[in-house]
Amino acid sequence: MVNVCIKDLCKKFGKTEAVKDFNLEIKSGEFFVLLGPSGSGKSTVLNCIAGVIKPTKGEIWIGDKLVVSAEKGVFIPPQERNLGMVFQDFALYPHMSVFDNITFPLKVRKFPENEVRMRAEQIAEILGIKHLLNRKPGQLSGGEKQRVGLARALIRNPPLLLMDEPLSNLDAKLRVMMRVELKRIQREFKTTVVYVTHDQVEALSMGDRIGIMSAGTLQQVGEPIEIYEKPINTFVAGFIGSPPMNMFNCTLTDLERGVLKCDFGEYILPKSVAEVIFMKAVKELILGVRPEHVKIVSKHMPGALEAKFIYVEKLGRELIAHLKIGESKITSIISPEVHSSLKETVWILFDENKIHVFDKSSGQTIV
Amino acid sequence: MEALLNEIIFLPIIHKVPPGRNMSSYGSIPLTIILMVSLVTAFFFIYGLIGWNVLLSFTKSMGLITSYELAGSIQYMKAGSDPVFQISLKNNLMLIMLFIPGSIGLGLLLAVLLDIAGSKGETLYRTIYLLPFSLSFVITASMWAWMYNYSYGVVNTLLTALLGRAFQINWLGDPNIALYSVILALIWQFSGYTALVFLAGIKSIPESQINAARIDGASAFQLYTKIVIPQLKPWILSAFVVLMVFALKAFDFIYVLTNGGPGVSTYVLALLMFRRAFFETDFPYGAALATILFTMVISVVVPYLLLSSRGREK
Amino acid sequence: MLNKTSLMTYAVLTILAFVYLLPFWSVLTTALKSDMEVRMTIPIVPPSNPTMMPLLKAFELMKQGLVNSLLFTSFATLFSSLIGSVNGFILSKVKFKYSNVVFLALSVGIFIPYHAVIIPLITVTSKAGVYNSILGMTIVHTTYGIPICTLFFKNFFDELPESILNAARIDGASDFTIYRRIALPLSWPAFIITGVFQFTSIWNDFLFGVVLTKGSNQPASVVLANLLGTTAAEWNVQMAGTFIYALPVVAVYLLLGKYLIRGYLTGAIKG
Repeated sequence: MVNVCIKDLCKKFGKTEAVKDFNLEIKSGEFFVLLGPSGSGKSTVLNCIAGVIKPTKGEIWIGDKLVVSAEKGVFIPPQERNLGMVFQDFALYPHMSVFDNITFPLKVRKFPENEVRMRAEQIAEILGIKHLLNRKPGQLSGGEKQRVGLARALIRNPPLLLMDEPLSNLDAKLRVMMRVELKRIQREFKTTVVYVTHDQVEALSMGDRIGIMSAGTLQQVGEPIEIYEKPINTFVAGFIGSPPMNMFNCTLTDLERGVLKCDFGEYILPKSVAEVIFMKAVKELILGVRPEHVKIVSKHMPGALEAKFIYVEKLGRELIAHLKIGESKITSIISPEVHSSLKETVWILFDENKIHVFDKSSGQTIV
Repeated sequence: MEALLNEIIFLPIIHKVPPGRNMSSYGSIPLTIILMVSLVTAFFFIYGLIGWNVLLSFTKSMGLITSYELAGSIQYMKAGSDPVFQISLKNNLMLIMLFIPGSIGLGLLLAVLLDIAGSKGETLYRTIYLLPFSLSFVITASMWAWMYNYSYGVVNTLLTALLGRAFQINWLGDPNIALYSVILALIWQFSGYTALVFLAGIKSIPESQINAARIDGASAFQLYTKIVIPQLKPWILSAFVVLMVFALKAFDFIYVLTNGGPGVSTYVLALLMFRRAFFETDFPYGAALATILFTMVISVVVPYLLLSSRGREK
Repeated sequence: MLNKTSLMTYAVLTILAFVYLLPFWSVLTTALKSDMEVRMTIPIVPPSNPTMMPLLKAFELMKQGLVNSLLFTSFATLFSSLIGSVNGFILSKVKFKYSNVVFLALSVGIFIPYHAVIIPLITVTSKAGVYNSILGMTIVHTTYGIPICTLFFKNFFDELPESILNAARIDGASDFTIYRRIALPLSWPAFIITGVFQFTSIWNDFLFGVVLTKGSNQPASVVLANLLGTTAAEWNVQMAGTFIYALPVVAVYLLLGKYLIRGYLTGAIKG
């Protein structure tokens, strides 16, 4: 178990800045997920930690060892960084048997034959691939390849394990299984994990902490619940959660009462929120509310907005209702029972404790 | 399994990192040496010798006696006044104008026919058409010397059998015909290659596109003229460059088949260079002719290489 | 099953196939005929009384040339393929500053007319003491084979996913270990393509042989070309010689044709 510390990391490919001003401290023993859409620079950060690419600026510490610093001219090659890595395409050596694949890290380090064999057997046992040791990668299924890749990364029991979208080449059912499995392995091997993915479900379910990236910069770092409940800006708010958060452009018309003029009509902010906004004196705002915090009622109530159903997505246990309020669209999660009791025209209420308000010009959260 | 786990976890974490080693120790000295030595050798044999040859063409060397005193462009003036040089250039031009379109046209026809025939016939016929291209020019020239033989050759024998004695042609003996005979034989040798390239091009067009065109109502003819062949442009370009380079540096085949004859009617630049340098042992003039040949080839190849390397970066 | 179009197609393809094969057929029939029969019958007709004499005679004349060709072709094929594999690996996967420029400059060497180097080459081989020798031919063919061999291997290694190399680096392997334990064993198809391509083109070469060797050191191509000049009347021996010299390449072509085709296409598309 080691911690990883990244300071002022920048990486340019030609003229494009893949990563800029990246600062992050990954705690020892943590399962840290870097989450972001493709092209956000998350894999570049991972590859800088691994040492397979060199940053343009900044430094990276693994434990108490400075592994790279562009300014100080330090570069420790990946061979000496003492870490394991699992790749999206598994990156197994196609001409070697499973046994030779997983023992390759030991063999190139000239480990004694009996120790190589013993460790291979142990790791194969743990990952349930003992029966595959004599096969070639071409004869394995996706899930089996994944386990072999994992075994190869873990055989040296590295204090740091890097994973680059390891589940994205697996089918949906296997992915769910492997999520649980990877967490178990991390706990048992007591290793620090840096895990890169574009899948928010993986991030929310596996990460001790999550770092969200967009366009080369780190947007927010926090525990899953924190990121979900307190998104720092509109990007994070829109990226996390499915279906995504409802967001509306609004203008503050009455500072004291907290009256917003939104696309869909008028909305009066709860007192606590209005006070904060009053202090900040921002007029152009974005109002955000998650679908599960949009409540649908069949009768008019004070503060409720009239809405019409457009259509309803049936996802089994729950329904996603797409509605129209004024000129805007809004989604809400409701149960089948509630849905059956409703007519075409309904009224909606926002859970006042769960609304988000962002500054429209900067995209940063206000409340 | 818990026990097993404990065992592996309590094995010492490997820290076999000798301090102070840097990246270069993971590079490979033997591989770097092979690369360096082979590159230096190759660049010497390519660019060094080309430079040497160019230098030679500007010196006061006489025949085999080499001198490195500069003499300006005497050798190039010599080319200007050498009548055979002009004939050779004209013949290279004839190759460009007849051999290239002939090979590309026949290659396209063969490729389309092979594509229509589909997988069953394709391999067998492609193997037959490409066979001449895999062989040495010495072999094909020797074959065609016999094919074109006036009295016993296959071509004249067939012509006699089909059309009568009056239609016999002196393929290699008539100075007005010999060059066309050479070109015809070369088209035979190269059209299998162009067909191979174009067939690969046709295969690279997605099946769905072909199906879409069929559903849209294109006839087989329209399918090839409107959908397939227009997309073969890059393939035709690359075949064109290969054929162009050959048309400029053609040597072995003509040397063995006609040796430039009858008279000087089938001389080409490379053959002239060879004769002047090694039969008349006029090295500086040979070097000048080689330089001209090199300049022509390079002005075709370098733009193409730059174009394709830029294309690859994109 | 066959409709009208494909019937027509096959008819045309078959007729063309006969035309393309006609020269080969006439080589075969003529090589098996006696001198007398060559003059009496048309060349398309198979020999009425097949004789091995022309083949034996041609083999006797070309024996030394064939041995010479076989020697330098084999060695030069081996050496240039090995060098190309190392160069291709470094230029594709290790890379260094300006490695793309180096590769482009090397690629030009694939297309240069050897006439542009042949005069200085006489001086160089003489000074090095390898003029008119099998060793000299091996060196020359190996060197001029480096550009195309490097291209073949670079193309092959370009297709190898970067993640495999990164995995190996993280596993602790040095570049040499990666080359020896991963790149080399994985690149056998590139070795076949390169080997087959080099074997046929070196075996087929004429210019280096005719300029850089004399007498008993001449390769088969030069011996055969000389045969045409000297025994013009003996067409059966000439065709027998042609048959013998063509045989190794035809055998390679028929056995490993698909690899040779890959080589031809690489040269064409990548240029």
